[in-house]
Amino acid sequence: MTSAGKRIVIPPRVTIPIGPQHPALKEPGMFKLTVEGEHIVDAVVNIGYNHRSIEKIGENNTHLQNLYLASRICGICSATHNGNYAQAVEFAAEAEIPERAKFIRTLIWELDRIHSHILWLGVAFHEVGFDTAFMLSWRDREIVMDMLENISGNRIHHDMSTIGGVRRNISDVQKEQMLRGFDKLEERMAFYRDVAIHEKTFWNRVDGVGMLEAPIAKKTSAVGPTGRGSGLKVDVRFNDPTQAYIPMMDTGDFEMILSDRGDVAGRAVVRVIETIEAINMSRWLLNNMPDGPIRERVRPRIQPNEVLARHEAPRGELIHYLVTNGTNKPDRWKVRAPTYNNWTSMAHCLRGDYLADAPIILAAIDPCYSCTDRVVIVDGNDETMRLVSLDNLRIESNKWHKEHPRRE
Amino acid sequence: MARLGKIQPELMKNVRSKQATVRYPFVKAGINVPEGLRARWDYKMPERCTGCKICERVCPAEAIEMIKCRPEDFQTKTGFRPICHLDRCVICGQCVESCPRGVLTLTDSFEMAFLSRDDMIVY
Ligand code: SF4
Ligand code: SF4
Repeated sequence: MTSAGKRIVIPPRVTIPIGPQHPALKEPGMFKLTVEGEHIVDAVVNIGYNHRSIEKIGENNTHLQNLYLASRICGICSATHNGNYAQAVEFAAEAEIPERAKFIRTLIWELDRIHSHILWLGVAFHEVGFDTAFMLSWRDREIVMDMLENISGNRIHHDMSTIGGVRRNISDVQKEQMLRGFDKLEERMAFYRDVAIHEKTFWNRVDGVGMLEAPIAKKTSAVGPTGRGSGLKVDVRFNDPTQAYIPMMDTGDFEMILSDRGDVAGRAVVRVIETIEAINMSRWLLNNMPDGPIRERVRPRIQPNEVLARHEAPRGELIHYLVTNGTNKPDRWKVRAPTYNNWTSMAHCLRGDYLADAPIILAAIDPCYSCTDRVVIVDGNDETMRLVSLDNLRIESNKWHKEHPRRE
Repeated sequence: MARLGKIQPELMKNVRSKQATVRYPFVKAGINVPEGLRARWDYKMPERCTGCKICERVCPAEAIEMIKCRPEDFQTKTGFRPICHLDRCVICGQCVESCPRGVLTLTDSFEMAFLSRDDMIVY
């Protein structure tokens, strides 16, 4: 008889594909994890599974129409894309917008950050199996969703920014309602902060998991809470403020939330405290909002120009690069969403951790998808479906654009 | 630092609090419909419409189609009137904003599920 107890078993290396649906967020994303037993030894992140050709559609639209298209890039931070595109067009037109419009735009951005961070917190609770806190935090997220719906007319696609200002004003009654809402929300967020930090159910699952050390975060150019959770000072609101962030930062009352932990817990702490900071910022914006017009007329034809608009979206730095050509349509429009930067750090975070921790590590960058690979073409008439490779797609799109020259 | 018991008092409180959600399709009371909600498109004041097609041009979703005025319609100056395909409309409100004569509006009726595309055309 051989003694089975003494034999050292080396588990075989197995490669597990995770995706094409993200295990945490039910969105398209593809990972290949190589595991030895329960340990992840290698991770390959395959970005660009989903291609929506938004930039190409945008080149055939007018700037005004692109505002709405941009806001539909993301269903969570729609206000950031919408506002940043408007900002880019204003930069290109060299137009100055009224002060009140700047404040309202910034307010919408901050409210967007509050709801996005609470949403993330709920998802994080859910990923570690702490569904009680998930339900409770999402219940309280409704406070800010109602505020957004109240001032913009829609829960998700606020579409508040337009070229030259904002589309709706904030009345005194709404202001009072919001200030009351912020008091409630702040109290609740303080509670969730304590839950996240002190409740064992959550903390023990995220403490020391998914380490991203500051030098690696810097090398992989992590942005937003992912970078700040590793101690990187990256926040466009502080480093390169625009809109009403300029007077806000001049007061010196607000500070960048940093954590030098570098694990998922660090990123969670940054997000929760940042939410409380965003509530304070929104309160400041409401209390210091100047009177006056909310909109300036900007001619639809934008002079030839090349601009880069930056904004701190909830997930990190968002860039809209815009080339205008004197018509009312963009010549080139490029969107660099923050998740794109954070993906590259992901492979490093996953290595050396347990497979069971993969969902929370993946969710910790708060991913959001819009990239490139291949497409499925569904024919609306006979409902057939076919897969098209990138090369064929390029040939077909060149053909289409030859047949449909741009309308001037 | 980490310990159990942070959430328990909150749980006890919630045992006695009332339900946070509305049993929507069965009960409609309690749904928060704010003033100024953007929902279903409406051709509110046909008699002011000139048929200028501005709404069709600005629509980002190509949801508005200009059709020849039917006999039962108000006859506009150009003989065309807008209709909206709700299946394509993204409820942005740009047509309402751009119409020079204030003809269009977005109402607050938010129930927009239909069984066929043809039912989704708003005249
Ligand atoms: S609804 Fe307004 S924009 Fe559209 S055709 Fe009539 S007048 Fe013109
Ligand atoms: S609301 Fe927007 S998408 Fe709908 S018809 Fe008007 S412009 Fe088009």
